Amino acid sequence: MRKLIYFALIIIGLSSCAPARFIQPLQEKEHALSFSLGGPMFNFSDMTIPAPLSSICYGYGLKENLSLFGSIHTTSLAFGNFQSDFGATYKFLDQKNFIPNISASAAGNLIFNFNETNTHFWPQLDVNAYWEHGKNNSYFYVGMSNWFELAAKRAHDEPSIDHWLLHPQLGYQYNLESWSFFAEVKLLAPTHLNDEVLIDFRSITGNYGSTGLYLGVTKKF
Amino acid sequence: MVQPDFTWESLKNSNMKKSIIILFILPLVIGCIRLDGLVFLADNSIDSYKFDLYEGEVEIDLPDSIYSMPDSFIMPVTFESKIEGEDAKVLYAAYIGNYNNILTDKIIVYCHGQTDHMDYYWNRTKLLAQLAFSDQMAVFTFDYRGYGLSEGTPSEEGMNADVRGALNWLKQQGVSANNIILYGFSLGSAPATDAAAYFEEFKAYKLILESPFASADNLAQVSTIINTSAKYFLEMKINNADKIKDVDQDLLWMHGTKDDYIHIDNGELVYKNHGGTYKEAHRIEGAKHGTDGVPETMGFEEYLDVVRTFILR
Repeated sequence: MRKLIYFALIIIGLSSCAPARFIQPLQEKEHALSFSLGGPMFNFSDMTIPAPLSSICYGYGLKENLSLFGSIHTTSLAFGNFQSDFGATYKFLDQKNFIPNISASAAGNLIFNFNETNTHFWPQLDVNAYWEHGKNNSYFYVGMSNWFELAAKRAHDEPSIDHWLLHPQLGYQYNLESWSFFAEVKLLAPTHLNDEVLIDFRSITGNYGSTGLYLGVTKKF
Repeated sequence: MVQPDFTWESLKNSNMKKSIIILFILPLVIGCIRLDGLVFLADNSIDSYKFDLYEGEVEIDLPDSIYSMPDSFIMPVTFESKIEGEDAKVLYAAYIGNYNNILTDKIIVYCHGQTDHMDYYWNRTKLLAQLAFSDQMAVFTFDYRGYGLSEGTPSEEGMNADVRGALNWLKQQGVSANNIILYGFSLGSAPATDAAAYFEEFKAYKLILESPFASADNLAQVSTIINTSAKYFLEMKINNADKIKDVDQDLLWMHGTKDDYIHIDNGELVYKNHGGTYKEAHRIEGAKHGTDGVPETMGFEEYLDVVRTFILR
C-alpha cells in the first residue's frame, strides 16, 4: 500500500528532537551558528533513510561554562509553523582522565502555526557526558534527552499517551579552529511500539521507537 | 560578571551580521504549504472505467469464478455535486445491482478510500454487490471530485459534498432514505460519517464503517506520542471521533486488529463515541488495512453475512 509519505515526514518532523545543542559550552562571548540535517529513520520506497529535516541554531557563550542557544526548524517553517528549541547548556563537571565532562541543557520546544494560531510547548532536559581529545577539543558524547508532555489530555479528551519521553543519544563532534562537524545517533522513544502507527519507522531496537540520525556543521565567530 | 554584548555596533563588522539577518528574514518568508492534497492519492489519468477488465493495481483480489457480476447489473451513472459558492462538478458513479428494483432494494452507498479511483476498489464493491442476488440489495459507488473521471480537485469539503450529491441522485430516482446504508472505508469513513450525522434532507438509515480514522489529530498524536496537532500541516480534520456523536443511526464497525495503517484504536474511539442506541463491533483478529484487510481475513462469505445481517436486522 502506498503510504502518505509527505504526511509522515512532517509528522515526524514535528515530533522528532533536533540534535543536541552545544553539549560543549562555547567560549565566553563566543558566537556560533549551526546547521543540522536529519531525523528519525523510516522506510521510503523500500529504503531506510533519515527524515531530511533541517534546523538552524544560534549559540552564545554567556560565561565560561554557560551557553545560550536558540534555533529555528526550517523545514517546519515552510509549512507556516514557527518551531524552535531554545535554552541554555551548563557544564558542571570537568574531565579528569576517564571521568568525562558533564553538561546539562534545559530547553523549551515551541511550535506556533501562523495560519491556525495554534501553539504547543514541550520542556526538555538533556544530560550528556563527553570526552574531549586533540588540540581543538573534539569530543565523543553519550547522553539522555528527556521530553516532557505537560498536557493531561490530547485530542478527543483522551489521556496523553506519555508524559516523559526518553531519547538516549550518542555522537561525535570534530572541531577545527572555527568550524565543527558533528554526527549524532538518537534512539527516539525506544520504549514505545512503532509497528502500529502510520509511519513506517525503522529502529535498531526493532519494533520500538525510531533511530534518529543527524549531521551538522557549526561555525564559531 | 561579564555581560554579553548584543549591540548591533559590536556585530556589524562581523559575519554575525549576515547570520542575524538570515535568522530574522526567515520567518518573513514562512511558507504556507499544506499537505491536504497529498492525503488524496487520486488517479485522474484514466479515460474510462474498466470495472471487471481493469488490469491495474486493485485493493483486494476476488475469484471471478465465484464473484462475477453480469454486465446488466453494472450501470454507469453521472451526477452533479456542488459546494456552495462554486460551480457544480460532474462525478462518475456506478449502480451495481438490478436497477429495476431500485425503489425496493436496500442500497449500500460505498464511499471508497484515498487511492486512485473506483476501479481500484471495484472488487470491494463487487463483493458487496453479491448481496444483490440473494438479498434485494445493490451498491452505489462513485468517485469523489478529482478521482477517476470526476471533475474537480479532492478536498475534505468536496468529499462531504460529493456524498450528498450521490444521495441526492438516489433521492431523485425515488429511493427512500430508509433503504440507504452508508458504507465508509478508510478515508471514506469521513464523508460517510458526515453525511450520516448532518445530511438531514436525506438521512441514511444505517452506517457501516470499515477501518475508520478517528481524526487527523488523533493520527498525528498516536504516531508521534506527543500531543502535536495535525493543524500544523493540514487544513482537513477528518474528525469522525466527534462527528459520530451526532450519528443516531445504527452503526456497524469492522476493523483489523493488525491494521498497520489506521490503528484499531482509531476505530475504538469512533465506536465508543457513537451517539445512537444500536452498534456492533467486529474486531477482526489479524486483519490489516487494504490487502489482507477485513474482508479477506474474515473470509468473503462471513464478511457478507455480517453486512447482510446488520442491514436486515
